[in-house]
Amino acid sequence: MLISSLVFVVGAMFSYNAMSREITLEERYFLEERLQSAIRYLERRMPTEEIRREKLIITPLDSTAQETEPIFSDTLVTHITLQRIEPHSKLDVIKKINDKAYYKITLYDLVVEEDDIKDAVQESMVKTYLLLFVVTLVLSLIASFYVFGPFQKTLDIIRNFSVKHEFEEFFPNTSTSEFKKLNQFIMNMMRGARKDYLALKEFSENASHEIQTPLSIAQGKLELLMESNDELTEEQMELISSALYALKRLSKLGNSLSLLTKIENQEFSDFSSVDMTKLVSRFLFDFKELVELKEIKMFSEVSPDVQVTGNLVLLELLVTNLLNNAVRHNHSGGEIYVRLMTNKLEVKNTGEALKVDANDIFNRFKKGSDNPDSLGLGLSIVKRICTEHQFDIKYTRADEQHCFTVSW
Amino acid sequence: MKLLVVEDHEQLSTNIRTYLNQEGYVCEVASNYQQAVEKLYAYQYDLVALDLMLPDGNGLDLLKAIKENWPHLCVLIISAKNALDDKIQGLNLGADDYLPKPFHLAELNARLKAIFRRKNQQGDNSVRFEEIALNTDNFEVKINETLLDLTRKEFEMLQYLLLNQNRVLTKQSIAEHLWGDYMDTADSFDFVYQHIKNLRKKITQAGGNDYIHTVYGVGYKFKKSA
Repeated sequence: MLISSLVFVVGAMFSYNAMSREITLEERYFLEERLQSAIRYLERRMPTEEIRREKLIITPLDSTAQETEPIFSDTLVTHITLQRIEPHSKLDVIKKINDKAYYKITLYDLVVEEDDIKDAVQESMVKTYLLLFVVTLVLSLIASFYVFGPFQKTLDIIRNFSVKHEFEEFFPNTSTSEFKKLNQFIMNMMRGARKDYLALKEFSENASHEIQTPLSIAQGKLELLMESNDELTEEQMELISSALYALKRLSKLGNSLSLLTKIENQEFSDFSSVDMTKLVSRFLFDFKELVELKEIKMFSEVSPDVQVTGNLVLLELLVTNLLNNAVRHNHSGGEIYVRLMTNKLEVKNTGEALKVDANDIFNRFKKGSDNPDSLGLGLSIVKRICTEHQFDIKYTRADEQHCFTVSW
Repeated sequence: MKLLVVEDHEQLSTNIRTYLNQEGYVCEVASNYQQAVEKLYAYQYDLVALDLMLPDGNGLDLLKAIKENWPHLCVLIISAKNALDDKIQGLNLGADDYLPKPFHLAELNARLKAIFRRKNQQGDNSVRFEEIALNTDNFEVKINETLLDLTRKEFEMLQYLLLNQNRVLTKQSIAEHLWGDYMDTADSFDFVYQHIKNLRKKITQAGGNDYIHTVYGVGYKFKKSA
């Protein structure tokens, strides 16, 4: 835009110069022609008196005069019709007519003013410029619609691309070879990303499944070994028991990781309206025994008829994980407060301060305590479930209490 | 009782067979889809323990085939896929129960017995052991006609012990049977201990013998003689 207007200004200057030069030349030709006709007139008439006509003065001179070349000059003369002083170009010449008499011939002609030229140039240039501008705009719109149409489509496909979903294996046909190449590259990249993603997904799924069968075998062998307990000492039994415990942990770890993967892969996409009041009440009841066993006091405040849209299995997991967490990271004689409101669930519990940064608490394998039973995955699962449901989860600590708030 | 175990991992099927043989089951093993179908056509079984992931086919397809051709055959699904939809699909297709891997052999035994009782001994829903009678319909336990006042968990624990007589039951296996997966092991051990203590007390107070023996460091065993 700026460049084009600059070009136009320079162009305007050039054309102005060219026009004024042409005009000056033309004026001279015109004056010279008139001079010739004046000379022819003088040759016929040979006047003795001074002749004054519009734009013409012929003065007879005496014989002492010398012939001169025509002299062009600019002057100001009162224009007769316009009745004002206007710049004129003037031609002065002294001619000897018919070898007898000398005449001074002065011719005037109205000069086309520079202002006028400028105005004319400006006007024409501005009009041309505007016309060109509109035409360019219209053309570029048409061009971007037709030429960049396929490009836009490509951009849309890229924007909608997610490794998690099947994508449209089709790019619009385009005759532009650059776009063809671009589409080819992007298509290959997308195929590659999707393939890698599926391979990774399959691996993590299979890994956590496949691990369960050998675990099952090992566990069974140990249990069979225990059956021959008559020959086994107490120490040997304890060794077997520890081995079984470790196997159980490994199995839980595999299940938790595969659960996280499944949530991430959005395999729990079956959402419906869930009665949170019922769900929370049920788990509070289930946890009652455990809480009493650990000599923890549990206080709850459950609002009636709280409905949340979500996946039932995941919401159950969310609640059990939070409650489990509150029991696990508590101490004998401690307290748990559970509050369900229409827009949030709050689980508060007494417990030691975190050993990790509060920001890391939702990360995998970041354990806030050295409880050996904790896998360090529970809160990651909670966080993941919240993300999946677009719930907000917040951790705060006040008055020696951990507090988790899930709001929806 | 005759059982067909459809499982491609030989070690696992050996475990199952060894354990269940001691329970008096006749246990046969098929290691793939094809073999399972052949055996089903050739012999009569009461129960099929079916792994869903088979080298030459999907266990769910085999389940469909079983339910079409042998509708009265009981099926227990054993799967490494702890996937909910697999479970629901399996049960919808007519499986009697679903057991995720890894499982305790005692748990498998208890489930098989439960299935067997539901299907084949209709009307008689009681388990008897000496002076103890346990009714699975109304959750009542009687010691020589004296009704015991048990909590639901205590009842389930006693049932589990009774179904696995003369077996070492780890605290872990008992806890999982009662609580499923989501409780901490350390907590559940205390929990099991508390329940066993209460159960013993209630049985002896009602005049019963204490058949629950502690296996130190491991768990418990339900048996007749001390």
